Amino acid sequence: MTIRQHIKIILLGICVILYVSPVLGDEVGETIKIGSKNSTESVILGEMLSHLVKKSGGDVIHQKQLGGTRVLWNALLNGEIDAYPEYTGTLKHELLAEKNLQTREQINATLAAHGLSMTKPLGFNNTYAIGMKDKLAEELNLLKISDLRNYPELVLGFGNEFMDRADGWPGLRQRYRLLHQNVSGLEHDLAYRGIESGTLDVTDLYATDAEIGHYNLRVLKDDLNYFPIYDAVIIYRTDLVQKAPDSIILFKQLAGVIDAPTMIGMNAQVKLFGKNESKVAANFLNKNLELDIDVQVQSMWQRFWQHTKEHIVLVGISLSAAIFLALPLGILSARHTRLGQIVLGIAGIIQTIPSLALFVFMIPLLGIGGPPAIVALFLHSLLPIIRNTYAGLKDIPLTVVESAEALGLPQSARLRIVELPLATRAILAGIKTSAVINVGTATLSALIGAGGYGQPILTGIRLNDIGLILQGAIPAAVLALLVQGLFELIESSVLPKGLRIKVNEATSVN
Amino acid sequence: MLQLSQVSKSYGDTVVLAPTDLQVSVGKTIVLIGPSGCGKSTLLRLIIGLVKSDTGTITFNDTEITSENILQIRQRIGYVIQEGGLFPHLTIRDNVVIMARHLRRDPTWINSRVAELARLVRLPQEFMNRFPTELSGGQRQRVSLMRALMLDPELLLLDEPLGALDPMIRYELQQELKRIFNQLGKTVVMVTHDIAEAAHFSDSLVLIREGRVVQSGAFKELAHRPAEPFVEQFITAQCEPMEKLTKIIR
Repeated sequence: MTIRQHIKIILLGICVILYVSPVLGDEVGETIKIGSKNSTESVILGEMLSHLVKKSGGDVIHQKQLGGTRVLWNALLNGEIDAYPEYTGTLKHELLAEKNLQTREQINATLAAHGLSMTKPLGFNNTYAIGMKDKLAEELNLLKISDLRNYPELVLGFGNEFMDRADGWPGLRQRYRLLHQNVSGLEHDLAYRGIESGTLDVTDLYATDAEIGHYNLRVLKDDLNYFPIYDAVIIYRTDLVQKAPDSIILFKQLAGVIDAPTMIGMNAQVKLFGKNESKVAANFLNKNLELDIDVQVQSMWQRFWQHTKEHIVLVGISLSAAIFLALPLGILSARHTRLGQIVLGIAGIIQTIPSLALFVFMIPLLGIGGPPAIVALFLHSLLPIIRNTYAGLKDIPLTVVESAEALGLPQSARLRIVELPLATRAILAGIKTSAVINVGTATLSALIGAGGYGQPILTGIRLNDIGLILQGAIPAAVLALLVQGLFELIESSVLPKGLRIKVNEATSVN
Repeated sequence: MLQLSQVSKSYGDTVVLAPTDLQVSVGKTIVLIGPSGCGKSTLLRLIIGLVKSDTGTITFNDTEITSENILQIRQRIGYVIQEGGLFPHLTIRDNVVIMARHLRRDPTWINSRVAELARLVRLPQEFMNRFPTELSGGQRQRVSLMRALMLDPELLLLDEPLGALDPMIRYELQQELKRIFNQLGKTVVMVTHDIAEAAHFSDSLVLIREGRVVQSGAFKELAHRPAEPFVEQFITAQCEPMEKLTKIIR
């Protein structure tokens, strides 16, 4: 088989992958897109919204656990998603902080100016809270944060962020005039263990953390109203009222029905007892809104197959595009040294941008989901191929290059017949490097809603479920090996036979 | 057939070749000789267009060589270098026929031409399907000559073609090359630093030193009427050890 035939086969393969691409294809009709943050609570609420859209007869996609509040906010503004669960405190103090909003009316007015609306509070306030072992609180008869003033000997341990934030420990100490000397900062999750082991007496919590019940903690009442309110609400694009009026009616029914203990209970079911978010959400809706939602949870194999398809599409498209651009760029760089330095410099700079940052940079341009992930992966795959093509061509002995030139072969023929075949090994090594990096980096694209093997990894990290993490990590590693093997196979058929002969095998007779 | 007038080449302040005139007539063998780095190889590379001259013109069969016609003219010139410059990924046959195939010459003609050249340079047919790494240095130079002769060029440029070979093979190939040149009646410009080799091949010698032609003419002329002391030194330096050896043998 000639090199040209191989290229044809590869091209054909890429076309097939593109054709079956489930990630890229724009959904037909009015599919409502729900988003959620990378926290169990947000995912449960997102699942509730998805159920409600389906119940009102709409098609729905849930972009689960997107990487960060800003990602969701921008996606909502750009219409990449239609609705997601948010907290009033986040709107006031983070997303719209510069507006210095005080009342709900002011928030509503500002949202309206962005073409957004929000529901009334769902019924729980997921703010910071101060908590301690229920048993100890009972003994000391502690109910409110003010009561701590009477026990300055208690050991306090707070999450590092809480220690530093203006609305954290410094302000709390001032407001309540607390005199405790024994205060240390530590990792939020470790604080629970400290409390459990008795080395800490008091810590900060998120009010709806599932661990509160699990570790038998008592939340002390913020009697001086120190902590800002983080009422959970649903924010949505106002145009949804026309697009899916029935869904909005159902969304609004959530207002006031989820109180803090209920939310804590649901968080616990998922986080501590391993229940499926979708089922937990459906159970709540069936019970409280008297709906009849039946959840079909995908089997492990269905999910595996879906993630595999998504991952292959991400890698396949971004890597093929990278090969088709980087190969000519590498050739150009080898031909024109000064231009080459510029090209390699730019590719190098792109490579130094952390993958996650590159993903996030793409969101304003391309929204969330497959396309921005593919572009980011594509950009990160360029350098190894360009550099190896460049090095492979530059490493060909001058005598060989000049012999081809002295024969009278034109430049294009020299490239095709002599130079590229001699650089095959280096070029393929570059492609293999890119492929392995690409497969690994693609796991991060789950953070911007592109799916793939990153999805179970992300969920596994959130739920502290090693098994789930491995469901993504192992296939990703296997895929990396397979892709590398594929290129080894290609190498064994396109590498010219003359380059495979070892010199010591050669018969050397004068 | 080949005429250089006032051809020069410098890299920055370093003069590699001072303005030089040279004429090569049809069927003659001219040998460019001189110490390493004297500019003799550069002269050859200027003719084949691997190096662009700063000044002067090079005329090949009454046509001035330009960047427009260089590709066509190269097809009429055979070029052989010290290491052979064979393409390691191609078989011997593919190395030899690369240009003929590019020009879409008739495959039957190509086959018979390869067989003819293999006989000429005395390489067995079965070597044609081997790769360059599977051949010895001397065999590779024979292949390199086959490749240079494939399109039956009017002019052969040989840049130290035997320089990398051990003395026995070198001696053997000197005889072979001389036979081939006589047989084909080609015009040849050859570069060497070996005075015996130069004397063996040349109709006319061109002695170059530091980018400048010191003297040109037949070997006898240089030996008997050196234009400068350097000519004598250059010849003596290589001939005296030989004479001593010859005396010992006798």
